[in-house]
Amino acid sequence: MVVEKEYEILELIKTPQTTEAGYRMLLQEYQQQLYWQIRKLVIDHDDAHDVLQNVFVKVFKGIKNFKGDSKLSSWLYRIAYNESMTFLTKKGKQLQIDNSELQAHLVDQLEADVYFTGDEIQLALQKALAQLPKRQSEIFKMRYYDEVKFKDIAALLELSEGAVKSSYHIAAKKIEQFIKQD
Amino acid sequence: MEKENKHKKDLGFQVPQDFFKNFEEDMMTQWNLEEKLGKDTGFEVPDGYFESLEEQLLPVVDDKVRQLPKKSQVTTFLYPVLAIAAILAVVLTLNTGSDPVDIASVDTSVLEDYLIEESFLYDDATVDILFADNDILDDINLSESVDTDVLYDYLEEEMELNEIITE
Repeated sequence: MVVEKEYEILELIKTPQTTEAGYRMLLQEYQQQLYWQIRKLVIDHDDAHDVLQNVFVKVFKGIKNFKGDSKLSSWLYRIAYNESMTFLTKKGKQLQIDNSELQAHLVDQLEADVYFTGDEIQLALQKALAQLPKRQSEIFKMRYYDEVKFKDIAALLELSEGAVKSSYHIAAKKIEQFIKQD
Repeated sequence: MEKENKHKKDLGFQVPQDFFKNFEEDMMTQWNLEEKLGKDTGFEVPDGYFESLEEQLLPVVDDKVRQLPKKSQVTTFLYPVLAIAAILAVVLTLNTGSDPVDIASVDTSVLEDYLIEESFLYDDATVDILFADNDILDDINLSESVDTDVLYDYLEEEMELNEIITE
């Protein structure tokens, strides 16, 4: 079913008369999924919106050359991940802080964010995630929340599947400990 | 003491050391997290955000895509050459210490072998362009003054764009 939808979108986009309809269908189908994926990485709503825009600019620009070697959803996920990482790197440079300081800064801001209504435990989770090494935090978010297969995370991050599994379990244990203490 | 496993027949199958112990711990951790945290992050969006998102995104994205400069034929032609020249700049700078390297003095066949070995040449057109009868590379004089950060940023962007286009 998903494959059929992907095929339909790609066919619409490839045909000049239906390209716009194809773009619309692509947006309808993936905007929420990609937004939440990005939001979990960049934390702030306005930032997530900006990154989402950039993702679709890249997608619209590149999709006519998409050959279907991977699933469309995986391709989109990869672009969204890369854009989010690029955004965070730039943000860190702008604020002249490293990644761990940036994560702490983002979580500090979260407490006053009107678009965060998490309870204490959800805030504790964000604090715990901010303290993890970058890769462990990313892997945890992808696996725990987005339920991405270990194999796909490994491909995305260019790591072995074993390394990804191991990182995930280490991250999960650290978070469990952190939440118990908090 | 490990329980005797009644299910284990001697079929020659093995599991990694501590597999069942780790499996149990990992499963319990996962269960604990899901029990305490659930899958809700607490992140919210403004009211009606997703209802209007498509209408907000489409014109902005469309506009940005149209604004992206189309590569001229010359630029398209030069991109692979410049990318390779940049890679060479990094490689040669790192490998040669402080002595400036005149790329024209490097034997073409050595360069060709190196690039093929390192899979820098990703298509025939690039090979043709690089080894065409031109003097683009001859004019490049490399020294330690090459800013490697700038080169890495450039190469990273190029690789990302290539990945998107060639997927």
